[in-house]
Amino acid sequence: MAANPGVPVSFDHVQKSFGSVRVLEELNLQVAPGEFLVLLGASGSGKTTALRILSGLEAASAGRVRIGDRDVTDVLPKYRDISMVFQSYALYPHKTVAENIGFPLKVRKVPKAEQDIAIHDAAAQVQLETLLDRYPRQLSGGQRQRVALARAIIRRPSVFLMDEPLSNLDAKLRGHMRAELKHMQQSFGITTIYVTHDQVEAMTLAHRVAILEKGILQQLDTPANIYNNPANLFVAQFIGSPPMNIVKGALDNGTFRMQGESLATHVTGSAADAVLGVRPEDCSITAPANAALKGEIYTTELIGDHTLVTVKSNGSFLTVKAAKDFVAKPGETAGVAASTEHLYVFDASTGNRMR
Amino acid sequence: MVQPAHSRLKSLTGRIATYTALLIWSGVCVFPIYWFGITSIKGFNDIAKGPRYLPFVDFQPTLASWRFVFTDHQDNLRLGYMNSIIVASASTLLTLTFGAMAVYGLTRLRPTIPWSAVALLGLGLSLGAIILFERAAWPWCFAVFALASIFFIAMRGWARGPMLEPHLIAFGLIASRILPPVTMIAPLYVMAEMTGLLDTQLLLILVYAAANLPAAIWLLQPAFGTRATEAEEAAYLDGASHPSILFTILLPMIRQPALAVGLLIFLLSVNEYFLAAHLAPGKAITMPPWLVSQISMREAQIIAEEDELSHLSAAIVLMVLPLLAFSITLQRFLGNRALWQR
Ligand SMILES: Nc1ncnc2c1ncn2[C@@H]1O[C@H](COP(=O)(O)OP(=O)(O)OP(=O)(O)O)[C@@H](O)[C@H]1O
Ligand SMILES: [Mg+2]
Repeated sequence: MAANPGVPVSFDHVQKSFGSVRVLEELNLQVAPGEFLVLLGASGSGKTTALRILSGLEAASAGRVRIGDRDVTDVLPKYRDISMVFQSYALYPHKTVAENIGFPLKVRKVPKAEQDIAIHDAAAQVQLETLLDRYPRQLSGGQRQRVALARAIIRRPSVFLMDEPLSNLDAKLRGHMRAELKHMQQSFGITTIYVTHDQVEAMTLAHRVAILEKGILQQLDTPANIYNNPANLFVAQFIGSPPMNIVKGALDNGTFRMQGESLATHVTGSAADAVLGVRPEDCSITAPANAALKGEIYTTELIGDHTLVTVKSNGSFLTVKAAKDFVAKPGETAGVAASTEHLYVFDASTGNRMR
Repeated sequence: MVQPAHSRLKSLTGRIATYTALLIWSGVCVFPIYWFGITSIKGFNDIAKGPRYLPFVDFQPTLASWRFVFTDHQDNLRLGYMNSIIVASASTLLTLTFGAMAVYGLTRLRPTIPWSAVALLGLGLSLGAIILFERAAWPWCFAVFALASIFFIAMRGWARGPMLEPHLIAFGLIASRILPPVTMIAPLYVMAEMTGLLDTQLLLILVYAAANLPAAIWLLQPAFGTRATEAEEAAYLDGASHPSILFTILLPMIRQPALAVGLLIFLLSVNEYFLAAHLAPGKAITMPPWLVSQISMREAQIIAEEDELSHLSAAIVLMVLPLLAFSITLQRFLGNRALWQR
């Protein structure tokens, strides 16, 4: 099948309220043709709502939605040429797996023989060939999810919308399906918007990640930039595992001051309330005398290829990724060092990154 | 689980009391059916000689009445039977189809009809009426109404203004049942006569479908919920039309409660007497009016010809048995978590 050229998609000042509840605030988002965009956010952040507005199942309270060069804000869903994987699978309980997968083609009156070939292809892609005669109630959650996926990919629409399509698969199958999806998306070149709350999924699949929180777009960038250049404190803490270490203090002309200690940063400017952030893997344990951040060892956990060291410092905890042969006794005093280029500073009142 | 001894004892006496009460009540319920059953196999003499309870013991059963009912010139019985089945089945099918479509529309499409559209409809109807019946006194009445409608539309605009919300429509439906049927019989009769449908199966089918539609809508609504399920939305995204979503996606998903409603509507139609007696007294007669006509016609003769009673009993058994089967099916659906535990 010839690669689909892919179409751009855009949200233009899209707002959505349910009654008095504001779910999306002024969402502006441009998705490039053929892009794999991941919408990442915590539960209730409005990811599904954004997809439903793009699909036309929900009307935007304000703003415009475009697919390709068409303004589809007032276009019926079936004329938007999208296919969607629902978070709840949305399978037809009285139809077999094969009938479920083939439904989009049946609606389009594709000849039966062609349908059968397409059903087998789609089923093979999600490893469901042996289950075609079963009914959804006879499937596990992960199998149902794959039926929903197959039903979405059996067509070549302009846009794929996927709402947490891998959330119910076991780790091994999820890894496999992730690779499969990424490959498929690349070979079809179909613009894809993919919703997840799993940052690993977001980082590995996306060309760009859009981070949504409380209906507000926090940052839209490549996975590497999201990780290395978080736009604000929320993104910095949301991405990364274990999360970024946070220390409260004040920024005085580029010098971060806390509890009688001070640290030079690359940041210029001042803020009465500032937050210093540093990722666990950018820290190291040193002698207390050599570090501005110090405290006592709280626990050490051997994870496998590294050891996670938690240091209790002024009532808060700092996590350090240390070598796997690191040993220390709880209660020992220790310093936490990090080089200046790995320090992030945020304005505590706005949460914005200071540069 | 182990129950303490005293509670087991208590539950034993309790159970005896419960089952005794239930047995007595079942007897009360079942006896009439039993009585019709045995009366239908009694000969003339057994009926004349006073109560007889047990076949082969009290009296010698005979199939004479059944033979009479099935073979002898009882065309009317067969006619009534067939009419009842056809009318009840067709009207139930119609009621369910339109009821499901109405509930789908009310819960999925959220029709908001501007009052101005209602007014425009009124205008159209009144103009139509003026053209159809040119009666001297009427045109100016309609003209006033039409002018008011035009004024209203001009004030309101076509698509704006207060809306007729689904819950108002639903209330309007049930409100139509506030009128007792006796008030409908005269207009129905006149309309039937004008359209030439008097005493036809089609008339009863249409009248029953219309009369049962509000009940069907209200009974179906809980099964439909208040908004589209994601399965329906998926089908909608894939391009399925609303009718095909309703009939190929939604109805199969809620077939149990829908069937239960259907069986209920069927029983309502098949047992309806009042409208049937007035609108279809002749060739389209259904079982309830037929039975009543047998009783009133023969009341005078019963003492003389008691075996008519057994013919009648046979006919009643014939009518009740399928309904009993239906009721048991209905009971299975009701007991089967369909309507109550969704
Ligand atoms: N139909 C609705 N009526 C009222 N509120 C709604 C409706 N749909 C969603 N919401 C609210 O909008 C917010 C965002 O919901 P949404 O389903 O988009 O979240 P989500 O990011 O997809 O979360 P999750 O990861 O849990 O699926 C939630 O607070 C939810 O309660
Ligand atoms: Mg969601």
